[in-house]
Amino acid sequence: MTVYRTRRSAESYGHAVGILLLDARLPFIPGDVANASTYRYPVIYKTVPGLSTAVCLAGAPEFSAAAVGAAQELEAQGVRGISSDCGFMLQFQSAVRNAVKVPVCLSSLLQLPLVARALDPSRPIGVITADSSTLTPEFLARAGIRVKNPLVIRGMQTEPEFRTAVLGEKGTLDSDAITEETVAVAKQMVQEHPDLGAILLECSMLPPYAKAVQEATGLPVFDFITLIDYLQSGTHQRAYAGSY
Amino acid sequence: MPLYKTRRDAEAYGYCVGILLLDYRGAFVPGDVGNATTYGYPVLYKTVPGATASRVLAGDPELEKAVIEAARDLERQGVKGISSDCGFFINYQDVVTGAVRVPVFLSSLLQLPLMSSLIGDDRSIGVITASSQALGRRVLDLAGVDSDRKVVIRGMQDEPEFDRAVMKEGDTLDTGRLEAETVDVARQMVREHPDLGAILLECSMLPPYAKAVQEATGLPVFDFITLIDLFQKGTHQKDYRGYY
Repeated sequence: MTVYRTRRSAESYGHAVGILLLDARLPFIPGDVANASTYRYPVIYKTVPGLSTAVCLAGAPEFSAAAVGAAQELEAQGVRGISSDCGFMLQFQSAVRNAVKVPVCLSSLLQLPLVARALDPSRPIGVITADSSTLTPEFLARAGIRVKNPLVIRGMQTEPEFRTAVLGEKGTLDSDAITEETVAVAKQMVQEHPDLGAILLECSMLPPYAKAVQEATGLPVFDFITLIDYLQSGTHQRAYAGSY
Repeated sequence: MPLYKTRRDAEAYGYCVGILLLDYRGAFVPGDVGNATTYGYPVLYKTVPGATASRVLAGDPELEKAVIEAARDLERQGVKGISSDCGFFINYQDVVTGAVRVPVFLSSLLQLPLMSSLIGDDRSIGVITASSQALGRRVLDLAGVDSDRKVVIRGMQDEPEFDRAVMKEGDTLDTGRLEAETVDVARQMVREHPDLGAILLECSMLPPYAKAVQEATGLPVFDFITLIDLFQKGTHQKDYRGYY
């Protein structure tokens, strides 16, 4: 017999991972970090009030306390790990991981050092981001992310459908058009850097196109979902029922 | 219409990950890196001739050629990434990444920097390894864990069942006893270091007990399988068929 204790802050139970959300209204399609059917386990979302996409991408230290508060609420509800729906929330990674007891991976970019280590240091790694004007090596270094491999950073901000649907929040999103745009950016990157060893999709709205990028380039593709799945697997170890 | 090209070195197709094996005979139970039913996808094994545990733990440079040759053989057969069944293959991580094109993640220990980036600065990481004598600063530096992070290392070498069944390559392995030993070591570590933020199981024969360790300690537990699963996902991106 197991005795369970009520969590006074919990509305419901069993959520594996808690996910901080930008304060944005967009079509989050299957495969998106903010679509619950992307995962094989339950997740729970929590918006950081006032933290718009533009504000987060520009850098918003004034929202650090709000991000910490939202993460603490998720923790009080019982999640075993915390992530987010924007790679630029990397700027809050240190504040949040130091404020809760559960592991925290607010940004897909946290995978960069491990991915780099799996490749020869001479091989470039491609990063496809929502906005390459603010995702700079300095931004990464401030968060403690340093790799030996050259980084090739390409932004989606000049692609018409991505710009209007994601950054412009026009109210619709054409996933075929964004597939084409993302694949074109990836192919261009490989053309310019034939020795590319892997691609990382920074943006939480790009995982739906990861498979298309992989098929077009033949490269390993890491994204928010590979990281969130990793967090879930380490916080929810399983019984093995195989054969011998 | 897809046109497939014969791989002249391939006996069969469809293996996601290739796994280098120690030249070793032990009981690889479900959950062990060396048991094919551990994974949700097909893996291909390749023994490195002459790679005894003692030589790999010491990082014998004379093994380099054989390790590289085995990795290249796996790559020619079509695997999309290469791992191993001993955390101390980290001694060969850099030579293998220089010799193949696919991502290489030979050691569970490569997760240490990522784990470190997920937890608070004042938390320590506990490592349960086959041999605490072999896991010193040199190996931690190879893993790339920053020197500010406190790492607590505990070996299984003095536990009777682990010593008999694993270290001495016994004819039998009692999973009930091995689980009890692993949980004891983990509990003792948490008692002595209440600041523990996560546990890493170095040894490829310990993942079957990760769930018991997690239940006993309430901590995130990473192991060889969490690492191999991460790279499998990054090299085999999927279609999302969720809801909107």
